[in-house]
Amino acid sequence: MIKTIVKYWRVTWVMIKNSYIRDSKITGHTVSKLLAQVVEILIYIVFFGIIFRNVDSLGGWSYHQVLFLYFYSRAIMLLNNMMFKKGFARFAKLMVRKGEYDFYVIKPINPMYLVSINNPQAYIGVSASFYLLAAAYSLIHSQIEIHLVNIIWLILLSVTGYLLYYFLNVICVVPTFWFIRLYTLKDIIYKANHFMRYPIGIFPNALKFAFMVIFPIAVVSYIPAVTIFYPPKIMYIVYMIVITIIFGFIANAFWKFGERHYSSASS
Amino acid sequence: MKKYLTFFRLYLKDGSAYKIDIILSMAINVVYFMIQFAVWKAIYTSSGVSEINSYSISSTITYHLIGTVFFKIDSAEQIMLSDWIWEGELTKDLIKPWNIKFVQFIMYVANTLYSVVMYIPVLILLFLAFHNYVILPSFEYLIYFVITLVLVTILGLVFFGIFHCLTFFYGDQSGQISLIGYLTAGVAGGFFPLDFLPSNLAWFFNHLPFRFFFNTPAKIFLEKYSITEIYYNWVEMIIWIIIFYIIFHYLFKKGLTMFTGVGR
Repeated sequence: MIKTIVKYWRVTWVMIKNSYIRDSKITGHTVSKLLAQVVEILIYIVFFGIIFRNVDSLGGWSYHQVLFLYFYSRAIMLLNNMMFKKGFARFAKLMVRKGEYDFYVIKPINPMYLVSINNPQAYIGVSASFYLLAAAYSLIHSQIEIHLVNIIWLILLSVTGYLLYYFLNVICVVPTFWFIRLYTLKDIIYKANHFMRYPIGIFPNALKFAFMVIFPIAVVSYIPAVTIFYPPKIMYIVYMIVITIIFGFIANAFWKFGERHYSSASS
Repeated sequence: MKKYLTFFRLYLKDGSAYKIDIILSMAINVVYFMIQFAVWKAIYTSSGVSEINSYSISSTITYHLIGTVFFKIDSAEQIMLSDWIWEGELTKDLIKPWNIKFVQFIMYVANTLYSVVMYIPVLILLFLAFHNYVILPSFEYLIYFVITLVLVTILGLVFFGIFHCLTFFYGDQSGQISLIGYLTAGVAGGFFPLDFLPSNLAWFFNHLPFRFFFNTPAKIFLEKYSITEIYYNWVEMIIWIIIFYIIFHYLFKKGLTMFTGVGR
């Protein structure tokens, strides 16, 4: 078990190091991307400012709570994007169509993991830190008393949320095995993740059910955010852990099922 | 002209080759619009206000619905020039007996036309689903809106074409182009009407040419401009098109002299 973990860690580390070397050679490009994140933070501070000039709360959440939820969900997404976004995009666009997936199947590493980790973007980690700082700023200014137990649960649930987001990402791109080239698959998660950014209370019941149970993307950020602001509810925590495990199994099984339809470059 | 028409036809066919991609893309747009709808409905309902800066809930929802059309145009990403320069693909066009800038224009128009036309059924579906919240313009204003849409498409090409040309001088510009696209959408009213901003900020952004990419056409659709104001906006758009085209033309011509044809 430990040997396997070390092996996976070493592969991941090599990929991250490569990514750092690659990004540091295209400074202009990297700085532009970082600047875009700063601009987005400013745009959304203005946006929520406009909203809260007209309302006292949104779905029962105050200005700083909504800002926290927004920035926190963006941080989780970006940390996921840092490791997996390009890998999944490459899978949806090229790997199956050109038969490149052969390379990943023959390696002694889980192909699903190897595909997703094949092209990390280290600089996105810096962008994520901007959002984490903005989230921390919102948390401090929310004027809600935060206990140590809330922070511990937030950290634990953030790890769970990170994994859940990863599994949902996997489920979104697996249909590539059938459709060969489906550029849009890589975008599904990035549009659906808008549900993570707002308090779930503002959505109609059907959408709440869809995004808390069927495709539980709202769970990724909403439950951790609720846990930091309010006394931790054991029911929420158990639900999040259980649903992450279930979706872990689903993602893995779905990938293996899809893989059976892969027939190299002739597909 | 025949060769350009053939190219246009072929390029349209190429865009329609992967139908599932198109259908999925539309479904994603619907989801995105539903999120916007839920957010704004919650804002108007919980605040109890009937208008925010002269925008009723219907105006705001319609604004966002029309905004999705302009996100489909997405000039920054629809132009292929930067990729072609960076990957050396442009070499193939340099040796052909045609105008490269015009070919780029054709590709851009084909991409845009295809995206917008394929989006019409989705718009109709959204209208039927949210008809209580969507304001339709009179026929006269619909015509003005379509004319503005054409001008916006041309403006997008010449404006973003400038940043694509920078690839000749500074290498890969994809990051910068995405950034400019994102910034432009922000200051153009892509995320919310510019009229929602504090008055001094709104005044500033309403004097920039970027407003033509979202705010102005959406306001024409909502009949928030008089006929004279619409004509005035068109004249201003044409002036900006000429200015951006001159810069684009200069950079393209100068850039070609530096182009080595080596792909990366």
